[in-house]
Amino acid sequence: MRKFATKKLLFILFFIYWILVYGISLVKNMEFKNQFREVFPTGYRMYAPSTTTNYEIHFEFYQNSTVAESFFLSDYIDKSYEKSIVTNKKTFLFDFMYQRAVKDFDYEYQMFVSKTGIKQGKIDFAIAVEKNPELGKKARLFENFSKNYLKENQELIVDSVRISFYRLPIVLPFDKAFREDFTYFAGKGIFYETTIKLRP
Amino acid sequence: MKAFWNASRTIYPAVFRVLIGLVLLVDLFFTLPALPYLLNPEINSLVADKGLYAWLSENYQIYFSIYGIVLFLFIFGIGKNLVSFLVWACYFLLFQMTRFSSTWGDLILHFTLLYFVLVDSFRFLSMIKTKSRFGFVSKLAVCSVILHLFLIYIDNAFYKITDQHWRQGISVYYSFSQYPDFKESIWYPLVSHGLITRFINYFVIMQQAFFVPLVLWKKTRIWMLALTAFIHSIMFVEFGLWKFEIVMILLLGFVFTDDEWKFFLRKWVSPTLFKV
Repeated sequence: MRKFATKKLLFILFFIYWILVYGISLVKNMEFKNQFREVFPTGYRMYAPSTTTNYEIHFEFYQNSTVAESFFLSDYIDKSYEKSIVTNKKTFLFDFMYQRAVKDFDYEYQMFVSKTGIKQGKIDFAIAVEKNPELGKKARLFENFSKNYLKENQELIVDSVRISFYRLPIVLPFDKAFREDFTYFAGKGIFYETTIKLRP
Repeated sequence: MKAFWNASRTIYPAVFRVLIGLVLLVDLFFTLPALPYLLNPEINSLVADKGLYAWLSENYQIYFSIYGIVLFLFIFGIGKNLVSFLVWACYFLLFQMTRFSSTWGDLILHFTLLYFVLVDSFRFLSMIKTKSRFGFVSKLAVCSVILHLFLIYIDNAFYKITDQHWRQGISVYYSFSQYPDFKESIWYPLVSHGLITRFINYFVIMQQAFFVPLVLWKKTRIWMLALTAFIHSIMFVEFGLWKFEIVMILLLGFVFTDDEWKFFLRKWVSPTLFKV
């Protein structure tokens, strides 16, 4: 009898738990949902595409105002993938983090364009970081990349680096005139840029 | 419907334990060379700078050694539910430590492993086997893994239907074109064709929206699961999210009952293997 009651109680708890999980997963308010995210799954909005824009990050290293080296991060990543299968995961994780960070910068940029209606272009990292301190850590990710690149290439003598973020809204080949997304209004080209001194 | 939930599912948890253990072990092996960079605050500014996760990041060698040992015990079925709990705990800490690089697959696995803690997966393919009956808690835990799997597809269908780009039929192109070398891929001619890309787009929505009813219906179950596994395999190749896609494919196995597994495996596996 007691065993039956325990089973019944367990089943009721199980049932309530799953009713809550399914109910909360369909709520759209993320702030509300985030309160529960450690306890149960609060929904899977993993519908691709996560973006309608592609990005490129350009590094330009200078020595006495002369370009000593320049490259796109995507080329560096491609070369890293060719090195060894053992280090592929490292390359994947860093690529993933850089892409995620640049999307966060783009989100700030799009918010700026949306509020002001001005496609300013080339906003300095510092301005974005001032408005959103969380971006500070993400900006440092790229600064650290530059410093680490110099460690990997010790023959390179430079005093500063210019980092530029490019946004490239994806053009649909079957509907090239398609513009029903804010990314097309926000435009193409450099949207953030910064210059960092690497030696005092 | 009642028959689906009441059916015996004691075989697959053991298979899942071994396979997911191997996936986590392979993942750990490939993550190791990344750790000196990934958890180094001088390179990765997103690493936690205080608290438990900062300490774990600094002493990652100790943590990952323990995690590796726990995974071996889990694969060989030593330590029962305590080891299942330790696998979840290690994965949870890793998930929290590397939240900056975690994907949806990590979140799915985190909750799957949490429910799996209560599953008796040690009846088969285990060095120390369980000999008692498959308990009620274990049964509820297996149902939780399945309900969680259903939630993933229901949620995705729901949000796709409410998303502008999915409704317009152009999401599949956007999804593929985020990845380098897409233009050289065999999928480019298909996905860049207006009609075909829209067809794939709406087909994916339908597949996710009808996943649960067609899996519950015995006659369509195997076809729906085969189609779902095929879609995940394409994403595995094209998007490179290997862990996420393998986890999703492995989760599909929970839907089949013991009788179905015995039927599938009758040619390759001795019937005595799955006898308690």
